Amino acid sequence: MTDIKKIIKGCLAGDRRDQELLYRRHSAKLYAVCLQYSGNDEEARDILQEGFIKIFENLHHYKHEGSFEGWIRRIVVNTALERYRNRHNLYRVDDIDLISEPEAEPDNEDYAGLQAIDLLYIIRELPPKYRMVFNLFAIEGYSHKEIGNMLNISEGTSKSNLSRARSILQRRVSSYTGIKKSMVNG
Amino acid sequence: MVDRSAHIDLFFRNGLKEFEVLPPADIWDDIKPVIGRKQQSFFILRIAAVSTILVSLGAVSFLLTRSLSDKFNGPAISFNQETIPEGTYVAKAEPAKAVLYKQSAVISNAGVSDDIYPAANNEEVRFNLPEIKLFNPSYRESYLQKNINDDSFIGPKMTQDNSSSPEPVNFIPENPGIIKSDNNGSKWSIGALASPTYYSRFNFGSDASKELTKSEKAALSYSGGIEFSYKVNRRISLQTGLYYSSLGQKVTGVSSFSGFRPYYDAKNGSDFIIQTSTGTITSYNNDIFLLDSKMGSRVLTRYTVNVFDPYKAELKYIDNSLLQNFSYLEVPLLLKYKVIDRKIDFNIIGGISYNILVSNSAYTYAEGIKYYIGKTEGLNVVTFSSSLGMGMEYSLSKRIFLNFEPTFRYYLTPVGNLTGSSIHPFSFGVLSGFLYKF
Repeated sequence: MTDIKKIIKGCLAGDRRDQELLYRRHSAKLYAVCLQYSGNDEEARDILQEGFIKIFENLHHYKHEGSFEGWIRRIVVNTALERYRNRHNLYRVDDIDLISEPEAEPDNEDYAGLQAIDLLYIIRELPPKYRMVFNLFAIEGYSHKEIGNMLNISEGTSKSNLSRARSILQRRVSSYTGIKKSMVNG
Repeated sequence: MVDRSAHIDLFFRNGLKEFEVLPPADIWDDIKPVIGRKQQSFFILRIAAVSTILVSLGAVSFLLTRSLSDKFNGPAISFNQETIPEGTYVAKAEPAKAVLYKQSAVISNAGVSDDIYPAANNEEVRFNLPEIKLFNPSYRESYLQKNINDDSFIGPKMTQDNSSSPEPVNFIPENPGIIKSDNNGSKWSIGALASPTYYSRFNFGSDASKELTKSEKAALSYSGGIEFSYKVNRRISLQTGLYYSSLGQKVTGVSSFSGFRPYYDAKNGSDFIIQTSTGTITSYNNDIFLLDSKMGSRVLTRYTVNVFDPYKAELKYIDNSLLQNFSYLEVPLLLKYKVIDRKIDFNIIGGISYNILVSNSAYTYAEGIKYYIGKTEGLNVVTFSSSLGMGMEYSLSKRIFLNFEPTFRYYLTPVGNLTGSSIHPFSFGVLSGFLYKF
């Protein structure tokens, strides 16, 4: 029996040590995901907490097919989505945004100087609806149709939001790189 | 442009791929007790379920044993000869022990002759019976057999050999309620039953869903329909039927106003969505304006307070709550076990029901007027429920019975299919009505 199988079995049997072990092993990675989907640390904390409760509650549904890490990540992402849906409008007024702004011309900047923490800050600065679409499309790899269903928006809105998100990100990445370079050069 | 866009996607994806941030140390302390509590509550539920089954089985066996032992509580047969020669049997009968005759008559029934001659006080009684051994356990068996399998038994028919009493004497059992005549061997029954029900629900969903449940209350619910039952044997029957059941729920914290239609026309679209724990109510009534009356976020609309003020627009206030109604057609498949077979029968009834959602509505109500709002979306069309109850049948005539069925029902599948919501209703009601056996 693999290590993770043993831990899961222990968790299902109510073993406190295994439950804590599972949490300690995966919480750092999942907290990074929570930060990516939330606007502030408090929200990220709530998502992680709620997400882990769901993981423990639904552990018996995990069939040991596919990666466990992927399975728990999906639960946390879904928790973040649920929270977003509850806090933001369910109705399709987003369609108003269909008239998209012209996309900013990307600068020929080199992004190499940016760290993961910088990228996280840049993503978190996005307005929630752009952040959600960008995370789901670019990071999780969902299609616009799937995103539309998840966020109760049209496919067109999803595309438009992604385009805006990319445009904002490109601008911010450029300015961050600029700031970093000027800091390095003194 | 596309390449550039894809590039930034990839840049972020790769950049955040292995990214980890240690969460605040106290999060685990908050998670730990919640998991423990949930596991404990499941454990308690399991214990409760097992205890219920054990108590039910215990009660059934106790009642069954008592019911049987009641039938044997007559005085001992007082024949003073253990072996009686064929042809002429002599017994000393004691007065005031009618059961003696009843029991000896049973032996006679089980044996050969129906003609038994009851004795006068301390008189010798002659029986025309073949040789039988009294107190033989097999008689007890045969008596048991007789009383369990043959409901038609009322009491022995006895005739006296004495010329002073030439007429046959019918013995009436000491307690006429103990042994009841069957309804001419009726196998089928049909009945009509109805009941108001107390309805509530368990919410195993997310915290957000539980938060919504806090301002929701059970409203008037009822159930009724027809049932058919087939008697497999004396104690076991199969029961099915068709019931209509209506579950109600009151959602507080949402104010409703009428007279919104002119504004709706002007703004070309009224779109109110009300979040509830069971699903989302979508408003189809353009004349009704809905507003969160508390600091909450049940009502999702573009007409927020800073866009539209119903008081300034002089809309008519209706109420500060909404009512949701869910109607189901139910097809139960139940097993009925007769625990006590007396004048009033007691049955334990349990099984499952297949429930089909036939209608659902949301409305608000004031001064006797019902204002239809819309429908709840996100409900499961088919649900399954389990039920456990006790049926009491009181015989009004040979074929007609008054029936009471206190029944507890629990929905095994959630009523809604919204993510994060897991509402399992349960109800308690006393179905009452009439049964006709044929």
